[in-house]
Amino acid sequence: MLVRRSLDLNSLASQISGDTVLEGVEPWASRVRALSKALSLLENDPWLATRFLQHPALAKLSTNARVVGLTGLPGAGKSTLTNLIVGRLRKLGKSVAVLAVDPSSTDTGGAVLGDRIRMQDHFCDPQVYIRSMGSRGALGGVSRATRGAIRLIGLLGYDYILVETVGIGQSESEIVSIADTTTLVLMPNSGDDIQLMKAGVLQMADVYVVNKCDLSNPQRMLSELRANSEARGRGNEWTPPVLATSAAEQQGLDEFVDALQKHAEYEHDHPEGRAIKRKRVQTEIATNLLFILEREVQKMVAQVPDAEVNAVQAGQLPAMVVANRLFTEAFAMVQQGKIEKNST
Amino acid sequence: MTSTLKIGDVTFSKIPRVLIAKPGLDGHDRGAKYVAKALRDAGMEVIYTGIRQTPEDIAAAAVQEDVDIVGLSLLSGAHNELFPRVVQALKSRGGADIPVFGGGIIPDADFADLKRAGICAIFTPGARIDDIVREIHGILES
Ligand SMILES: Nc1nc2c(ncn2[C@@H]2O[C@H](COP(=O)(O)OP(=O)(O)OP(=O)(O)O)[C@@H](O)[C@H]2O)c(=O)[nH]1
Ligand SMILES: [Mg+2]
Repeated sequence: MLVRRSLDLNSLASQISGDTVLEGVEPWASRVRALSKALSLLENDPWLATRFLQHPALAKLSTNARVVGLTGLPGAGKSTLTNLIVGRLRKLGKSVAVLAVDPSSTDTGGAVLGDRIRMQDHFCDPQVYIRSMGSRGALGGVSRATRGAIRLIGLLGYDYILVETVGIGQSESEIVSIADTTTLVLMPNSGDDIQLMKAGVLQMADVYVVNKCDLSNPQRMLSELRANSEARGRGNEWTPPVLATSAAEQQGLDEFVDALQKHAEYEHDHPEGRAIKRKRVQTEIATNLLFILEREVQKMVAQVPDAEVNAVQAGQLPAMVVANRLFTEAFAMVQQGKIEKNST
Repeated sequence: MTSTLKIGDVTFSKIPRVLIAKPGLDGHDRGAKYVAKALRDAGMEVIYTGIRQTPEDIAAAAVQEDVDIVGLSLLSGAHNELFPRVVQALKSRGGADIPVFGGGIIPDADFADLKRAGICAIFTPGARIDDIVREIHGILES
C-alpha cells in the first residue's frame, strides 16, 4: 500500500543542519524531526534522496560515527543486546543511534517492526535515536536505504550507529561491507545452524558473541568459534574476540563494549586496520556507482527495439551481443559528454 | 497541487508507517496486537512499542520512526487524560502533523472532547477490523 507525501527539500535540509528550526520546537528536536522525514524519503524514493544528500545545507556537515553491525541468527538476542549496549555507551558519554532492520512481507510489503520494543530504556533520551526499517525485499539482512540512512544519521553527530540486521539464516550478509565493526550474535546451541550459514559472516565478523549463556552451557560453541577465530587471526593484528554474554543476566557486556572500542582503535591506529577501512570505503563507492548504473541500464534496456528482443526470445540472437552493443554505444556517449551529469 | 510550490518541493509515494502504542497502566495488549497485524496485512509498516508507555515515550518513538499515524489502545479508562497528552507531546517534538487515533473502552460521552483534543478517530470494542483498516487508510490518504 502506498500513500503520497509532499516535502520541501530546502527547508528539510536546513532543518537537519539546524540553520532553521521548526516553530515552537526545541532546536535539537527539530533536527531529529527533520532527520526522520528525510529517512522516509530515502526509504521510498532513493533517486530523490540522492539529490537530497547533495544539498548544500547538508554538504557542509560531516560524519564521524562508528558503525557497529549486529547480525546473527533470528532470536539470538540482537535487539536485547543492542538495548544494553546503548545503555553502556551512554554511560561512557557517547550518543547513539540504532537502525533496526526487520523483514518485510514479500506479498503485501507490510511488516511488524518488532526490534524497538526491546529498546524501551532509551525512548526519551535525546542522545539516543532509534529507527526501525523494513527490509523491503532486500536479501542481505539490511535494506537498500541502510547505507544512506547511516550517512544521514551521522550528519547529526552521533558517536555510534548500531545497525541490527534481519536475523540471518542462510542468506548473504551485506553488513560486513557496511559496518566498521561487525558482530555476529549466536547462541550456545547454534552449532548446526552455523554449519548451514554461508561462509560470509562466519568468516568475516570482527567480534563473535555467544548470547543466552544463562540458558545452556556455551563451552562447545565458544571453543569452535575460538578455533575459527584463531585461524583467521594468524599472521594478522586482529584476532576476532569470542565473547560469552547473557543479556538476561547482564553478563559479558563490559567485555562486549571493550571489544568494540579495541576494534575501533585497531582501525584507527594500525596500518592493517586502516587498509581494511579503506577497502570498505571503496566498496561503498562501488555500491553507489552500481546503483546509479542500474537505473541507466534499465533505461537503455527499455529502448531496445522490439525486433531485437524478439530475435533474442526466438533464440536467434545472443543477449550478450545486444548487451555489448548497448554498452559500446553508451560508453561512446559518455566520452562525448552526451550523458548529463547525474541525470534524474 | 497548490500555487505556492517552492523550488525544493517534491512529492513521492511511500509505504505508510503506523505506531501502535499502549499508554497507561493496563497490560492487555491483545487488541493492540490484533490491529497491528491487520494493518501489516494491509501493507503498512507497523511499529508496536509495547505496554505502559508514557505519552513522551510514544511521541518520541512516533517522531523518530516518522510514522504517518499513531494508534493508542487503552482499557484502563484514563483516555481523557492520556490521549490529549500524547497529542501535546507530539506537538512539542514537531509532530503536530501526525494524526492520532484511539481504541479501547471509551464511552460515547467522551468522543466529542477527545475529537476536540485532536484525536482523529475512535474505535470501541465492537468495531470490525475491516472498518478500522478502511478508516485508517482513509485518514492516511487525506
Ligand atoms: N534467557 C535469555 N533470554 C534472552 C537473552 N537475550 C535475549 N533473550 C530473549 O530472547 C528473545 C529474543 O530476543 P531478541 O532480542 O528479540 O532477539 P533478536 O535476535 O533481536 O530477534 P530477531 O530480531 O527477531 O531476529 C526475547 O524473548 C529475549 O527476551 C539471554 O541472554 N538470555
Ligand atoms: Mg531483533
